[in-house]
Amino acid sequence: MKMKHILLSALMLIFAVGCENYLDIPKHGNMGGQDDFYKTDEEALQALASLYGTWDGIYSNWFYAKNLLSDDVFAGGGNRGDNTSMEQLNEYTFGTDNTVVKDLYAGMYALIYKANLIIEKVEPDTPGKARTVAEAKFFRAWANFDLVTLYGPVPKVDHLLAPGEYRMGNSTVEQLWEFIEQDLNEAIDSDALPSKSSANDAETGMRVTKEVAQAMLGKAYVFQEKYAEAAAILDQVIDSKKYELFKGDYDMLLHSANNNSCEAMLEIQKRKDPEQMSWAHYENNTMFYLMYGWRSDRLEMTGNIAKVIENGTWGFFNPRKSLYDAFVAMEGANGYRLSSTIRTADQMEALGVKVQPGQYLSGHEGYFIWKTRLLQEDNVSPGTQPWFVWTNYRVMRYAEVLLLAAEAHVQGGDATKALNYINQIRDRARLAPLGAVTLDDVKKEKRLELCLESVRFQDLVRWGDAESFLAEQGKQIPAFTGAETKYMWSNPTYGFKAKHKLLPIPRKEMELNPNMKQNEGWQ
Amino acid sequence: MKNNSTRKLLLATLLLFAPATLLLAQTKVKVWGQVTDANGPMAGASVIENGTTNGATTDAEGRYALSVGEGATLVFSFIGYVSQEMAATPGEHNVMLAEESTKLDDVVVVGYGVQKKSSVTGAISQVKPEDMQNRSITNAQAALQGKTAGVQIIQGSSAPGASPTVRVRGFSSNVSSNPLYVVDGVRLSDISGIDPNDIASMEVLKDAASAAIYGAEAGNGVVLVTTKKGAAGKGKLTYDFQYSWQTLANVPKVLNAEQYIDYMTEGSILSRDFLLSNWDGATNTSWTDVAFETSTMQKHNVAFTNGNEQGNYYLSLSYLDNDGIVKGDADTYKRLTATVNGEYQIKPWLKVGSTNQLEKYDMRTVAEGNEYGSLLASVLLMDPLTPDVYAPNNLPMNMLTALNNGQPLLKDGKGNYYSVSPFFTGEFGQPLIMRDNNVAKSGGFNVTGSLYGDFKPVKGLVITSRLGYRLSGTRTSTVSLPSYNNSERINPYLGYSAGSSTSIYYQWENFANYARTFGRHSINAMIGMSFQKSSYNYVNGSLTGNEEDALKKNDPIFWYLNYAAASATKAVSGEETESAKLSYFGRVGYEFAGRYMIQASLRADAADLAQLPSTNRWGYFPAVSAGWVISQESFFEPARKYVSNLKLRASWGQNGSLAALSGYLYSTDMALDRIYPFFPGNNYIQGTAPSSMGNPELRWETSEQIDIGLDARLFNDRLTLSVDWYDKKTKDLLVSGTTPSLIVGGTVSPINAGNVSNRGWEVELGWRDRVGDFSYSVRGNIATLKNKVTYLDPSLVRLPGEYFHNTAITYFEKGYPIYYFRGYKFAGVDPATGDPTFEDLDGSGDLSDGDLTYIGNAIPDFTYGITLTAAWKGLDLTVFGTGSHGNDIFNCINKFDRQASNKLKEVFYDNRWTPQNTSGTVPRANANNMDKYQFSDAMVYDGSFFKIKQIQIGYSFPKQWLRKIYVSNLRIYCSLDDYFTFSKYPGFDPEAATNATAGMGIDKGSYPGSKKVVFGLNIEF
Repeated sequence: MKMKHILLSALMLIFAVGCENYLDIPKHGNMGGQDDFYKTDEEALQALASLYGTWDGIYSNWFYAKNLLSDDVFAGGGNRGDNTSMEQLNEYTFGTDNTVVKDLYAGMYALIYKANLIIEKVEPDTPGKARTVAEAKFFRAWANFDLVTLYGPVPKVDHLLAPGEYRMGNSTVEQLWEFIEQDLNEAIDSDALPSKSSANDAETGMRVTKEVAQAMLGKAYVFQEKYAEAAAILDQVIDSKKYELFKGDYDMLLHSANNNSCEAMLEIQKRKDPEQMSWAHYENNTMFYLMYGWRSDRLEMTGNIAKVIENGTWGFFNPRKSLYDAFVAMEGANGYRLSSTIRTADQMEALGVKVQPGQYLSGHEGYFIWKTRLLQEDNVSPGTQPWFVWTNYRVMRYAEVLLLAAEAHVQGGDATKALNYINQIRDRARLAPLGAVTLDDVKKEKRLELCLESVRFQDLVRWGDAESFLAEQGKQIPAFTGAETKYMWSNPTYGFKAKHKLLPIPRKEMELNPNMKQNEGWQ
Repeated sequence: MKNNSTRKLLLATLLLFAPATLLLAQTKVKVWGQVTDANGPMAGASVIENGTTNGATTDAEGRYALSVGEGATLVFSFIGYVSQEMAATPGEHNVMLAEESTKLDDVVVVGYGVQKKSSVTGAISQVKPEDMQNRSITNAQAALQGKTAGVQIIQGSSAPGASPTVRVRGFSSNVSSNPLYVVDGVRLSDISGIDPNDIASMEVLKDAASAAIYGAEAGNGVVLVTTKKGAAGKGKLTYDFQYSWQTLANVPKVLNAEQYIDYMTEGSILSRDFLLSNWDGATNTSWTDVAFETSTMQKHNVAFTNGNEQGNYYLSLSYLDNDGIVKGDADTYKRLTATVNGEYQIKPWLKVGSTNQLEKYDMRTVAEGNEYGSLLASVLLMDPLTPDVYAPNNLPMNMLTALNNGQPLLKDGKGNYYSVSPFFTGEFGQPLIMRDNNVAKSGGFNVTGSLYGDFKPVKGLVITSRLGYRLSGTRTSTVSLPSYNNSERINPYLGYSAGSSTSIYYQWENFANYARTFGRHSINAMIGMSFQKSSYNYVNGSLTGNEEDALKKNDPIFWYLNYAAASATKAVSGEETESAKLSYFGRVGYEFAGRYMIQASLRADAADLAQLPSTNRWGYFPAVSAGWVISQESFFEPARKYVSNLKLRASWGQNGSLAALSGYLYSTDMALDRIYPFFPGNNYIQGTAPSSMGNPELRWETSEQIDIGLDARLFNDRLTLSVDWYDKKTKDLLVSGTTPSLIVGGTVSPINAGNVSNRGWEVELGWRDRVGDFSYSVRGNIATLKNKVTYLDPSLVRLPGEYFHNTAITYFEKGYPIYYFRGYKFAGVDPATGDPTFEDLDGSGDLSDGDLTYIGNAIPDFTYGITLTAAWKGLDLTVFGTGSHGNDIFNCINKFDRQASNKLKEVFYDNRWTPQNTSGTVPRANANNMDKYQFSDAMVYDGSFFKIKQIQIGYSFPKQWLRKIYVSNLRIYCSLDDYFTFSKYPGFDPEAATNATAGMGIDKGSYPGSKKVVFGLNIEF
């Protein structure tokens, strides 16, 4: 009997030993340890896809910051206060805690981190891997370009940080420019970046090409006022003939139909793929375009236009009258490029679009953006609220390269070339060619050609024009009732001040990182 | 000793298997008599020949007769009475049994055993069946509210089928503070499927020492649930029935038509012309009337039970049908539960048994608690100018336009169109559209139970082996109908999603209890191990309409994945995840003369790889406790006349929590990231990146608690008092989403980065007495709570919790209560402009993040409950109330970017600034900085409340009448449940909350409580 008890007790407790290995539950979807990854071309490409995904993720804040800070648009939205962070940027009432300022800053470093992973971990011993590394260098430079031009002397993160390095202090603007040039030169000189086979080679252009890296380097030179170097390298891009100005309907240039056109330098790829709408890929949503479209619930749309314009959009980024006036001054009220870019309320009414009686559009002076109007055909699922739009996110187009080159030559190069370049732009805009070109001509041309395309603010700052153009920004905020523009809101303080030449280091970073020095005027 | 027990075993075995003739071979004597108690004859008492299975049960007159071996001992017993033994001389033996001296030697269930209440050295609260029965609560957690100190119940949503949140001694964690539930030894994360009628007792292990035997999962307290077992005695059949009528308890005041027009025009939000041209001049819709109705709930419970000395069983079947207060059947909860419990002493040394709860449920829900689509919020936000429906020939302009544009306007069943407001647009539609445009159904089953054997090889030693299990399945489906809420909320095509999941959990636990008394020394010891494993498997599919409906036909008989339209965007997902845990534990106790007691325990737990790296997987959780029964000391003798019992106790212990750990958070392995198209067409490269920057140092979250308590009984046990003070520190809280700095770039792994302290007093006081036929009792309890975050890693200033439309409003920060409300300090209305002004705390001259500060918190200073009972002859009365004091509510009903929404009258309208009322204390309509005002203390309300949960009057029919109809007990009752609420909160319900951790006290339109008129009966055969 006793034996039996012992046996039973032993049986019960036998389980108690040796089952710790039941706890070793494998991780699903695990792609392996970091040290085993980044070995093959395929793995390098997967790491690069992750980098491009991060780039896609930061695009909206990148776009918001640059365009709201400019004099192209009002913040707009459903009503006053719809998006205060955006209004504050647009009206120069933002503080160090602005979320767009913070998210853009963190986002740029997220992109740098993805680039550093590739640069450090991928051995460029095959053409595929070498191309991946070169692209990573391009993107690191691309991010550092906006960091140095928008935020100034931020930390230079040129490697994967160890936990002890997370609170790096400022570097200098000179170090950052040097680093940008170094990355771009290495990317170009590696010979790993392909060139397009022709201007119409859309596929190669879906990734960074050698010419794109050269264009970026040229832009970096222009910003440093190294005009000779800039002219030289931008000429190389132009002379390569791999890019051309788009000659179709100008008002369709920024639409899905002309994704990866001959003019596209850098675009974030979107696809007309209903699978994207599933929750598995919902992170690929394009809320950006929802923000961008007209405030459709305040509008009545009748006739043909109701069949082509998408509904349910939120009405941010409404053109300012001053922008419209600049167009009229150059092109007249019926200019081809003007009417492809902006429409007045009267023109809209003729098309069958008007503000509903009793309603108003917030942050609006009666001018509607036309070149980026949200078309049903751009919507992945036409007729539904456009959470998924397959228009590529435009980052840089060839017109900018021509205008940068024109500027570089005006500032100390070949005036003939400058004239040629600006007249290419004017020709496409159906304007008479100039006989001679000044810096002022380039500035005016660029404002109109690239309005609401994320270049204006940095240009104004580097030209020293920001104080004059942006001084009144935020003084009064209009609402458009359909019949009139009422200036319904105002700010006690507003407008561009000297401190706005640089954005503040985000307050969050200042709180977290004791080694950082705040920018001038933001302390 | 060994020989003796062996002989008994042999004998018992022989008796079981030997034919009766063997027994007859012995010399037999006849015994008979009557068993009585103080009230008269006792039916169903058992009389057993000691050491044998020979015995009898008394009849209705308490009489028995049987033959027993000469010289045998008779044992007379009845559950709840002190057994008596008597030598079996031939002849009549009348016995009077005495009730077990009540309370003193009650047992309480503790982890892996039971303990005499008198020996308890920890802080354990008990909730008895009388606190659960005949109430209109539908789940067991709700029974804890107000009945015991230190246990807070948060009924954030009162939707049918929603479970309340239980907090034992405060709020310990930034992630989850849910207690561990153990039902008949089986660990569960939720007990809402158990019918309260089937519960014999619930014990809340509040202090660390009591809970420490559950180690890694006990950091937030443990609730032990013991389901009913059959009692030895006569078989019993009971039927309980309850029927309730429920209505919305509190109707918040919103603007009527005239006030709405005033407000909108004052603020130029909408022009008067526009308002008047879209209003018929008469409509003044009360959306609470449109959306809510009086609904009903019914409950049935049938139970069968019987038992004898060898075994017992308890079988029950319950049905609950709760139709919520939203009009129609969009919010319903139906549940069928069964309990099958039985055990049998199959050998003198072996008892086996099984407990089982089976549950099947079906529910439909409406959207709530969300600023982008709560039906409940939409009731408060819809303008009063729009009627609920329009006849098809009478549609207003905006609806005609929508209809002409092919928008799918929804209709009621009678051909009328649900209205679409021309004024208010947003993520919300009107309540009826919100109710009907989504059909969200869920259902499933749970089978929870155990199989166990108690093996007694030698005296004092019980070895238990127990297999616990829970098998669950869920099925969900959501149909989103083509609908047009307003221009911002359009769903043009029928969409459908469905999913099912199963989870299988089992635990195998083996433990040995040893208890012996040697003279004045008692010792007990327990040692054991536990292995748990669970797996969860789900499959979901969804169909999204792509330029046409996602299903072949919009008809309920087509609402299945099988009928997908060819064009539908289809998505599937599914995975199986597993977790496991291995534990060893032990406990020793020593007691001297019923006067001094000390106990110590230790548990070691190992987490699986998904939770912690293998190098850190083991956690060790020790505890000690001690008690001193002062009333047993000789010096106390003079006071014993008044104070019959006085015990001082103290405990210390550590516990853990695993809630925040799962999903390989420490890992740096490569994980799937977004996809990206590098090539033409819909071809993608799968992005891959490190899942996080890694943290091999990740540890358990650990709670450490000191408890000092005092129990006393005074004045002949009429007055009972229990006082506890505790100090609980939780450290190494797991914090994710940390950013050491913005330049890091990658995802930083969670770190152990925070400590929280909870501290408080708990007092439970009871008085019971009887005056002739009248008996009454008063029980009250009160618990205070001081909650504070005492440490947060310096890399984090504060952790955001709940967001309200892009802005974090609750934060976790050192020096403040957990997830306090953070916002601006409203400094009054500028008399010149009517705009709100705020305190410029950072002196910057303008409003910025530097002006944000503490503006309230949802944690009450104290919670309390009081229960009065009275009985006179057959009549009984119960009044029960519970309250909370000092908690705040952040009103997040009105989103500032939706100015045209209706407004809570007391919040936005009354005494607002107008040019005529420049001393108004509420900003003018559409003032500047209303976005700041929304995040200021102006929106924070005192959430203190007192609710009378129950006023019940019952009548039990006299037994002599009932006997004639073969009924042994019949009671009928009626009750007003949740009928009276005292609160200053202007919203629906002061208990509203979006969630129980970061969203405590945030009201975004949660499903409010209803008041109920209840009728019920209890019948017993």
